[in-house]
Amino acid sequence: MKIIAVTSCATGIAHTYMAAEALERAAKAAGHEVWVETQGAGGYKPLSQELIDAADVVIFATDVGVRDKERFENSKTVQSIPKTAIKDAKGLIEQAEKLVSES
Amino acid sequence: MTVFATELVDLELVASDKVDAITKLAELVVASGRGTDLDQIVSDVLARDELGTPQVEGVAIPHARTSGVSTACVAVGRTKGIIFDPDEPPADTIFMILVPDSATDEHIVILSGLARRLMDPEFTHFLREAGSAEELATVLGQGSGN
Repeated sequence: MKIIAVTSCATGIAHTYMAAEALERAAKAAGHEVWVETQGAGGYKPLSQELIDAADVVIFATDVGVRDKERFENSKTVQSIPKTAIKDAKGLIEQAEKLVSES
Repeated sequence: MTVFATELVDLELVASDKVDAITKLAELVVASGRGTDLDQIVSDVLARDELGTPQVEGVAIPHARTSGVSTACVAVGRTKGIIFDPDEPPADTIFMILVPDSATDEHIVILSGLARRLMDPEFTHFLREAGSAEELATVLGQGSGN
């Protein structure tokens, strides 16, 4: 499965990147391809629309509003927060798998 | 001024609670010349803590963007269990990240790399087990291009 994750947090220096790393590790461990867009204090590099459209599912682990959210309006999404991603990234990946398999 | 330094590490931090622990780490930052306003640092870190302080594998990561420091830095304390988040077990290692209002991209890159490393169980194990402040500061610096 192709998974995209978007992470952000209030300060943009810790949670954003910890959540990104946790989701990358969990997705790869489960045998998925993963791309993470970190919307942190260091600015961000938006993932291309092609990549987003090709993904099976998008996981948001965000505490603050997602930048350029309209890019994801046709995507299947799992909504969460960075704290959950840091604590239980595997659980979020499983939610994403379930969402994809049910539709 | 480097982001990491031996004088910012206290492996025998004695603190009664998280406010005390944050204050004592902030004192190290001020004593090292990186911080200019102790009260400002503590109040900014506590304000961010209200929104939730991340914790992994017994390592709590209080952090803030604050005008109380003149340069980005990381202070590390090892202590008997301190509760940061009532949903989590007590933290025995505290990793406080401070970023000045004028943080450069370079600082953000160092700190974001560090945040990612905190998700590596080998790294958190090292933070909890490193034998000396020098060893800890050296390894932090090596992996972060600092």
